[in-house]
Amino acid sequence: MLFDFLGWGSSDKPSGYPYTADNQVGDLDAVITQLGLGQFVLVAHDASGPPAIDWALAHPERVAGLVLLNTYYCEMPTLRPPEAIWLFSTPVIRSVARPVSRMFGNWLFRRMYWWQVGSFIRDADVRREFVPLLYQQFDATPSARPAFFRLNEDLLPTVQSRTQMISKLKEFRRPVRIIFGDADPSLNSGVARTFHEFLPGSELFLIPGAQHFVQLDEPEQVARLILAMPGPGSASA
Amino acid sequence: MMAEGMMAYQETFVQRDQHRIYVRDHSGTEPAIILMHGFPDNVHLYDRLLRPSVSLPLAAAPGRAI
Repeated sequence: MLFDFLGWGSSDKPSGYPYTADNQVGDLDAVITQLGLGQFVLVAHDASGPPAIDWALAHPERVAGLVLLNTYYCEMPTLRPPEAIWLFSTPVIRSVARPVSRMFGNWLFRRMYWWQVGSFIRDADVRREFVPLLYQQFDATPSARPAFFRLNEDLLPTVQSRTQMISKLKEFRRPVRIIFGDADPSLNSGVARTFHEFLPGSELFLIPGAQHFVQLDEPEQVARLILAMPGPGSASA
Repeated sequence: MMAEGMMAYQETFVQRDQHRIYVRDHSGTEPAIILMHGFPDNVHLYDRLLRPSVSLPLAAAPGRAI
C-alpha cells in the first residue's frame, strides 16, 4: 500500500500545518493503526527515511522488514542536499529563495522543479512522463508548496537531531535492505554504505547507473529486491 | 478499481484529527508492504514499480507475493 503524507498528492493540505519529519511519524502511525496492520515491510525513500526509521526503532516487533531507497536519516560524511533543496533549506539563503521563486507566477519555481526533479530520473522518456505528473500537486489548489517549504526548513534540524539515534540504529535487529541508485550525487553510495555500517545485518544493494528516483529508473530490480526480503527470523543478531 | 497501466487497487482515506490521508491499497498477501514517498513527490513515485508487467511476474515467482 501507498499513501500521500499530509500536504502532498491527494491528501489534505491544511494551511499553517507543521509539515515536519516528527509530524510525519504521526501520519504513518495513523495509516498503520486505522488499517489494522499487523507486521509489515516499511519502504522509505528520500524524506520518508526519518519518519519510517523513527517508527521502526520505536516498534521493532511490528516491522517485518525495512527497505531504504536513496534516503537519509542522520549526519553522514558524504550526505549533501540536491541543489534546489540546499537553496530552500539553508537558513538566510531560503529567505531570499522563497520570494524569488514565487516571481512571475511561480515560473522560477516551476523551472527549478523541472530541472531538479528531472535530474533525479535517468531516462528521458521516464522524465517526460513523470516530472509533469509529480508537479501537478504544486499547480493544484491547495498546493503542495507549503509542505515543500516547511519540510525544507525542517531538513537540517531533522538530520542533526537523528544523529543522536545512531546507537539505536546499531541495536536494530530486523531485516534491512539498503537499495540505492549509485548515480545519485546527493543521497549517494557513500550514504548507503554508512547506513550499512550503522545497521548490523543489513544488506546493501547498489544499482549501477540509477539516479535518485531509483524506483522509476529500475522498477524491476527494486521490486524484486523488496519482494525477496528475508523474513524477520533471518536478521543477524 | 483498476487505473490504466496499474495493478488493481482500492482508494481510501485515513483520518488524522480533522485531516484526511490518501491511501492506495493494492491487495496481496501478508506481510503488507508500505511504500513511502519523500519530497517533492507523492505516490506516483511508485507507478512504474506497480505496473502489472513489473510486479505481477515477480509476485508469481517463488518466494514473497506482493
